[in-house]
Amino acid sequence: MVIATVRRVARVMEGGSLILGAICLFYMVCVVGVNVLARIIFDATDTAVNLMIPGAIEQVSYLLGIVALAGLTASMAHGMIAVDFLVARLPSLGQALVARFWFIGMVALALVLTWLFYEDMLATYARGEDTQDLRLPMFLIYGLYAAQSLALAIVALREVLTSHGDHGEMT
Amino acid sequence: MTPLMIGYACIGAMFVILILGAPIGLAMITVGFVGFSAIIGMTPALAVLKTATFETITNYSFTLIPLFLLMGNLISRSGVAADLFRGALLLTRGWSGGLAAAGMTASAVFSTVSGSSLATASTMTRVAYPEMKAHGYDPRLATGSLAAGGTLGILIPPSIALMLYALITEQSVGTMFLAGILPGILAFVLYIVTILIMSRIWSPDPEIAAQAIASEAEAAGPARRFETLRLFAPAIILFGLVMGGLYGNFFTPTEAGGVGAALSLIFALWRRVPRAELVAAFVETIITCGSIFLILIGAEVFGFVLSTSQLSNELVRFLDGSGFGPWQVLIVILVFYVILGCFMESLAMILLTVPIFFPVVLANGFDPIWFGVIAVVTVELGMITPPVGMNLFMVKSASRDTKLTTIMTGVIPFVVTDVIRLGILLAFPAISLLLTGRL
Amino acid sequence: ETLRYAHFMSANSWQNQVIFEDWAAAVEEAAGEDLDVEVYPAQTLGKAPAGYDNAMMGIADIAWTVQGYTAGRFPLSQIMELPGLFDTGAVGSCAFQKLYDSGALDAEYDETHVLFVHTHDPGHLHTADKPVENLDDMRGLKLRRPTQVVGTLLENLGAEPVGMPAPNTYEALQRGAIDGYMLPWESVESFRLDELSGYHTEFGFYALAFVATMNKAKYEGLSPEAKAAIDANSGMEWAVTAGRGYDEAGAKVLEGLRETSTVIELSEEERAKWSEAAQAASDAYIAELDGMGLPGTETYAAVQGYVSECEAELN
Ligand code: NA
Ligand code: NA
Repeated sequence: MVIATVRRVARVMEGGSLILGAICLFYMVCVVGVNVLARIIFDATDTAVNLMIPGAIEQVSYLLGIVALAGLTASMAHGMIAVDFLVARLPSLGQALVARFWFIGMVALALVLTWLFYEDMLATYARGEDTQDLRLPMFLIYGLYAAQSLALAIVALREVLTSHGDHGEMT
Repeated sequence: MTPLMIGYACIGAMFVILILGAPIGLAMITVGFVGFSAIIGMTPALAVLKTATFETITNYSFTLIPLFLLMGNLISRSGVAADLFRGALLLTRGWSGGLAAAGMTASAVFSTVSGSSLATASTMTRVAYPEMKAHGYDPRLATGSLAAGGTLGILIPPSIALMLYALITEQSVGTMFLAGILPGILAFVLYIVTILIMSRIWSPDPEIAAQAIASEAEAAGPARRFETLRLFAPAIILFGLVMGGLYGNFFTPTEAGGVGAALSLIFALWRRVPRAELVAAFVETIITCGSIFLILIGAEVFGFVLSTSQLSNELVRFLDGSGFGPWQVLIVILVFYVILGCFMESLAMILLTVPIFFPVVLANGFDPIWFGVIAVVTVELGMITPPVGMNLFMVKSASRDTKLTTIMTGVIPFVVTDVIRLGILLAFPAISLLLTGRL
Repeated sequence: ETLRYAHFMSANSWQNQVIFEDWAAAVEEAAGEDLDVEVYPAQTLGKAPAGYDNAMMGIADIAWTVQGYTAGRFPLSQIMELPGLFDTGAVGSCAFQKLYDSGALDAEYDETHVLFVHTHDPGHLHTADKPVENLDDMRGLKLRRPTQVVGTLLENLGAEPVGMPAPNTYEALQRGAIDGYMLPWESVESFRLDELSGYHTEFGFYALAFVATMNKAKYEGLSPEAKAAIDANSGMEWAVTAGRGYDEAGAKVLEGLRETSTVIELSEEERAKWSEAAQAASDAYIAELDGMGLPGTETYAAVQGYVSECEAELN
C-alpha cells in the first residue's frame, strides 16, 4: 500500500524532472547558441542590431542547477555509480541490501537539501535579494531547488523500498 | 583527534566504504560531512552540504558538461557512425585487418565530436562489429580494437575527462583540449600499427572472408576515394566549426559547447532522426549529468575536509621530506591510478583523486596541463583493463554473442600499446605541450 | 583555540600577506598562547559568493568577502560602490569604516561580528583593442560589469553590460565575448588581464565594498584575552591598511601598464560629461533605496562627509 503510493508519486516526480530538465537543457542550448550568433551580428552590424540575450550567463548558471537536480532525480532508478567488484560477488539479496542502504543516505541528503534550500528561500525573501543581472528574486530559485530536492528525496525513497542493486554508468 | 588525524581517517574510511560498494559521490559526501563535523561541528557541516551543492550546480564553468554531453549524444544517434565506418573502409580496403583499421579510423573521427569513451565504443561496435564478424574476423581482434578505439574519445577533443580535469584544477579548458590533440593522434597511429601486426597473428577465417569479399565485390562498384570525404564531412565540419570558433577566438569554451550542441541538434533534425531518438539523447544527457554532478558535489564537500585537515599540505610536506624525487612521486601516483583503474570508472576516478594529488604534482614542479594529459591517459587505460573496464562492458553489450573473456584477451595488445604510449608521453612532454605554446 | 580565516585571493597575492597573514600574526601576538589563526586562501574554505553565509554559519570562523556578490543583501553598504565618492582605497576604506562605526549599517550585519570594512581604490575601464577616449567610444562596447550597481552606470554611458564571474573575464576577453572590463589597477595584473588589455581609460567608475567578518557565536565564546586581541585588531587601523594596500599595489601595476599599454586620461571637458552620467546612476540608486524605505539620501550624504574628514586625516 505504502510502497504502491511511493511508487506512483515517484514515477510522477521522475517524469516531471525529465520534462523540466529537458526543457531547461534545450533552452540552455538556445541561450548559449543564439547569444553567440547574436554577438556576431552585433559586432558585424557595428552595434546596430542588438539581439543579445540579457543576463545570458546568469540564466545559464541557474538553469544548470535545475538540470543537475533533475538529472540527479532521474538517475536514481539507474543506480548510483559505485565500485561494484566486491558487491557483484554477493547474492542478489545482498546486492539489493547494499544499494538500499546507500539510498537511505540519499534520502537523508535530499531532505537536508530540501530543508536548507527552503530556509534560504525564506531568508532571501525576507531580505529581498535579487540575481545580479535580471534581478529575478532569489527566493524563487531557492524555492524551485527546494522542490526539486524534495522530488529527489521521494524518488530515492522508492529506491530504498524497491531497488535491486543496479549500478549506474557514466560516459 | 587532531584535524590531520581526522583527515587521514577520512581517506581511509572513504576507500573502505568504496570497496564495500558505496556510491562514489555519496561516499565523498558522507565522509566529507562526518569529517567536517568532527573537525568543525555538526551545524557548519550541514551548511556545507547545502553551500557545496548550490555552488556546484550553479557554477557557470560547469555549464559545458551538459552541453558537450548533449552534442555527443545527439551525434551518436544521428547515424554518422555508419557513414564514418563506410568512409574509412574506402581508405583501408585491401589492407590486412582493413575492417579493424577502418573501425579504428571511424572511432578516431567519431571522437572529434564525442567527448565520451563509452559512447564511442558502443556506437562503433554496433556499426563495425557485425561487418567484421561477417568477414570472419577473429573476435579477439574485432572486439579488442573496438574497445581500445573507444578510448580515443576521451583524448581527442572534445573530451569530458580533460574538461573535468581542467575545471577542478582551474586550468583553461581550451588549453587542455589543445594538449589532447597530438597525444590523441599518436594513440590512433599506434593503434593502427597494433592492428596491422595483430591481424597477421589473429588472422581472419580465409574461407568466410573470401565469400564475403566476393559477394561484396558484386554489390559495390569501384571504390571512389572522394566518397570518403563526403562521408566524413559532417563530423569534420562540426569539429571544424566548434574548435575553429574556439581557437579562432570567436567564442569561449562554454559557448563552444552550446554551439556544438545547437549544430548537432540542427544536424539531427536535418537527418530526420526519429523524435524518440532525439528525446533519448536529451534524457541520456540529463541522467549522465545527474551522475556527474553527484560526484562533483561530493568532491566539493570532501574538499572542505582536505583543506581544514591540512591533509594536502601535509602530503606535500611528507613527500618533500621523504627523499622521493619528483619522478618517483609521479610514478607512484600513476601506479596508483593503474591499480585503481582496474576497479573504478574513469571520470569518478579523476574527480576523486585529482584534488588530492594535484597539489603534490604542482609542488614537484610538473606542468599542470601536461599532468592532465598523463592522468587522463593513465585513467583511460583503466577503461580497457580487466576486471572492471567500462569499454569492455560496452563492447560486450553491443556485441551480444561475444564472451567477455574474448574481449579481455583481444584488448591485451592494445593495453601494451597504451603503456608504450604512456612512456612516450612521459619522456617527451613536448608532444602534449607543443600546441598549447607552454614549452 | 584555532580561528579559520577564509578568503578568495590566491596564496601568493599581496592581499594574502598584507590583509590576512599580517592580521593573523598581529592577533596571535596580542592573544599570546590563546589563539591560533589559520588563513585559508583561494576559496579553499568556501566559494567567494558564499563568504558571508559561511562566516554566519560557522563553516569559516572569519570570512573576507564582497558585499556586492549578493545583490540586494547589503543595499546601504553598496553605496560605497557609487562612482566619484573618493580617489583612493585608503580614503574609501576610512569613510566606509566611519560609516560602519556610526551604526548606520548595523541592520545589514546583525548576523555576524564585523571586524572591519573597506574598499579598494576606484576601478577603471580596460579594453583589449578599442581605445575609449570619449562617450561615443563607449557606445555598444560589451563590458564585464563587477556588480549590478555598476551595470546601471554602464548602461547610462551607452555600453552593453555583461555579467559573469570574475575568473571568467580572461577567457571572455580573449575570445571577444567582451570588449573590456572594469577593475582597479592591481586586479588587472592579478587576473593576468594585462596580457590582453591594450588600453586603459582612467575614470573612477566604482569601488567594491569588502567586509572581514566573524562568526558571532565563535566571537562570543572566546576568552576575554582572546576577545581583547580581536577587538584590538578590529576597526579603522586594518580598514585603512587594506585600502592602502590596494593603493600601493595599484600604483605599482599602473607604472608597469604605462610601459606596456596605453593609459588614456580624459580631457576636462569629457570628464565632466562622464561625471554627469555617473551622477545620474548614483541618483537612481539612491532614489531606489529611498523608495524601499531605506535612508539612501542620508547615508550618501554621510559618506560624503566622512570622505572629507578622512581626506583631511589621512593626507
Ligand atoms: Na572526443
Ligand atoms: Na579497468
